[in-house]
Amino acid sequence: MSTVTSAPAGLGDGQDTVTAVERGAVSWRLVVAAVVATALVVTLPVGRSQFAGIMWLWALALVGIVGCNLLVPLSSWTGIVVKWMTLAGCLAFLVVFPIGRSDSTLLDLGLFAVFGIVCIGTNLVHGFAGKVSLAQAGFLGIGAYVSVLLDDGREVAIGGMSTTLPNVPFLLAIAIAGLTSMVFSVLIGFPALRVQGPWLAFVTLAFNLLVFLVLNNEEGLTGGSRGIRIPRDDVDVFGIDLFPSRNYYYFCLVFLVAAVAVVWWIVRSPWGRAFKALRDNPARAASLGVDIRTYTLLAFSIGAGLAGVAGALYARLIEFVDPRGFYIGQSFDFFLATVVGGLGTLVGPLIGVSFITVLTDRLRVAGDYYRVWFGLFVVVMMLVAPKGVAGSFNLLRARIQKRLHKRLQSRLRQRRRGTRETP
Amino acid sequence: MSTIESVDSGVDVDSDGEVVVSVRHITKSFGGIRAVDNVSFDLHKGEILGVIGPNGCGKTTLFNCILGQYRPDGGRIELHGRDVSRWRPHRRAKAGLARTFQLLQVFESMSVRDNLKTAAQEHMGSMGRRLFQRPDMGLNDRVDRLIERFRLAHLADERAGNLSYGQQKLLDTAMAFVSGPAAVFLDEPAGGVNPAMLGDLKERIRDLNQNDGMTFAVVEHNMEFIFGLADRVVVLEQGRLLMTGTPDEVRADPRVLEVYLGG
Repeated sequence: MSTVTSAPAGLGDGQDTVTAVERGAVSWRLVVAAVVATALVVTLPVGRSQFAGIMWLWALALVGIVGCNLLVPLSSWTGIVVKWMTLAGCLAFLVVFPIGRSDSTLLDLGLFAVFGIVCIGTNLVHGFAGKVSLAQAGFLGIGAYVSVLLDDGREVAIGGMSTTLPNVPFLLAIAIAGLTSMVFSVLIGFPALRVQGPWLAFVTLAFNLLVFLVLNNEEGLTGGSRGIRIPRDDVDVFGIDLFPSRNYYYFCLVFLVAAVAVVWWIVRSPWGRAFKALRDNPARAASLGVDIRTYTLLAFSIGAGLAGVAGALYARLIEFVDPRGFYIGQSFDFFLATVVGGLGTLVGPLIGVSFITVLTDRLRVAGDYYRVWFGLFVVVMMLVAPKGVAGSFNLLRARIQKRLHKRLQSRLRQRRRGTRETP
Repeated sequence: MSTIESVDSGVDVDSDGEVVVSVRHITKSFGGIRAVDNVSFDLHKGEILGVIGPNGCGKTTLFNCILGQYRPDGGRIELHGRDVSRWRPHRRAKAGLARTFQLLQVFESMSVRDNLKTAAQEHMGSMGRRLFQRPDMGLNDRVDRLIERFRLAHLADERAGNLSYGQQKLLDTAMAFVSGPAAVFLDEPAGGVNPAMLGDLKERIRDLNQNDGMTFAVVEHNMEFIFGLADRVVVLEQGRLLMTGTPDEVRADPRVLEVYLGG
């Protein structure tokens, strides 16, 4: 949360020259350290080096970045510089890391980007507007199937009628997929608005089940449980061939960055405040003029729209769709990833998604027991860090900042006493 | 029957000044219990109206009917002569009916400033415009002035949930004012506030009333607080309107004495 609210922290606004100088010196060192650490994180993994020393260095650099972020006051200029640099570093990493990687790694990264978009939406609905939605996999499925059906002039049959669907360019298909999910979310949003808390979760879950059943049973439309193969070889956007895994990964990454930017814009705008008011206390929000029905529908449909767009990307990423990919279990995965990563934070969902995508692959050594481990991990996380990874990070930073501030003040007091005694 | 007469006299006696909110024959039942029974009164511009009565006499239910949290079974609510009885709460709020709740209600995860900005922002511009406006919507000055007025300046960037009860109460009250409403309904503003801060709270309300011409209706249990503050007092008993009058009239009325001491 604290990354979003942009109020200046009360850490003394340089009324005292000594503090300003002292803090300035510390700040510069921190900025330099953060620059070096970020550069190392971005460049070290390039070239698939398996040399253990480099991996250690890399881990050290990662710790360095995290440390720098913990040590800077959030809204001082240092904090802003370090924060933006870390963001730029992460982005650079996501751009540089895939160079020279295998197709399977690129697939995992692609899943990270696609599911990241979904969880950013989940986070807007749940973390900011406070509504539990367990239908995100359903919206993902709607988006995926819409984009698949709008390719290649498919013939579909529903209830005895059959038509040929138009062949729509990929980018347009993505947009239509997102819009279709949005429309469905508004349709179920109206009745769902009448219920709160766990009951809303049940309603959304039931909707997801409904989507699954339709996808599974309407064979004329969706191909049923056999699924549809949807090769990527004919897709190019603005003359760029998206068939190579790396190109397609970059394509997904662009959407991920755009999704983060959109949600960032929304939560820092007045809408973000209204969403948070809705989460904290809907009755009070309404009494202050917040139209809770419209805002809830907005949050819901933006979340669903993002999932729909992600669905269109997902279908071409794995080049195959079948209903099982959009079962309610997948919704729970998105939910858990968002919660574990940190509700109501911007990076939280992405951290959570990295757990369910990239780490899934790395932990495949655990075989079928992987899900057991993941479940245990979630339980432990909720006990130790109920605010998720990003939320705990913010709490830790606040605590460190408080202590640093106290120490700085006491040192300053000592120095003042010293100067007074010397003459 | 005597209640109906006193309703009418209540309306007639105080017909000086422009009527802001007009409550007409409001009735609300829960199951077999008539929580509010045919209550009518007017709220005039620039006055402080006290609403008193023993526990369970329907004061809060009446407020909830006026502000839209409940839909009354019968009767009308008019704001500047416009019937708002069927409007949802947020629409009434935008039209100028502000309130606080009996239990403290602030947005705990937000800073004091953001609480006040939230309370003000929905009254400005359209929803679509708000998405593309600057995050502070040019509200900083207004919000800071109000924070200053409620003596919360040193806490402006603090998370509202971290404030003490009394400070949250001040913030809660301030949130009702930030949009410049036509009438403010305060539900037990003195509840749970320590005596030292009580005078402070009274001062704030009187200041807003006299210097800004703000109109108030105040539900309160603390008699001393309300008699020292209100221009006019409405007394409820078992959902019905017992009488309306100046604090002195109400204090001297045998029926009121009976309700509070005898009954």
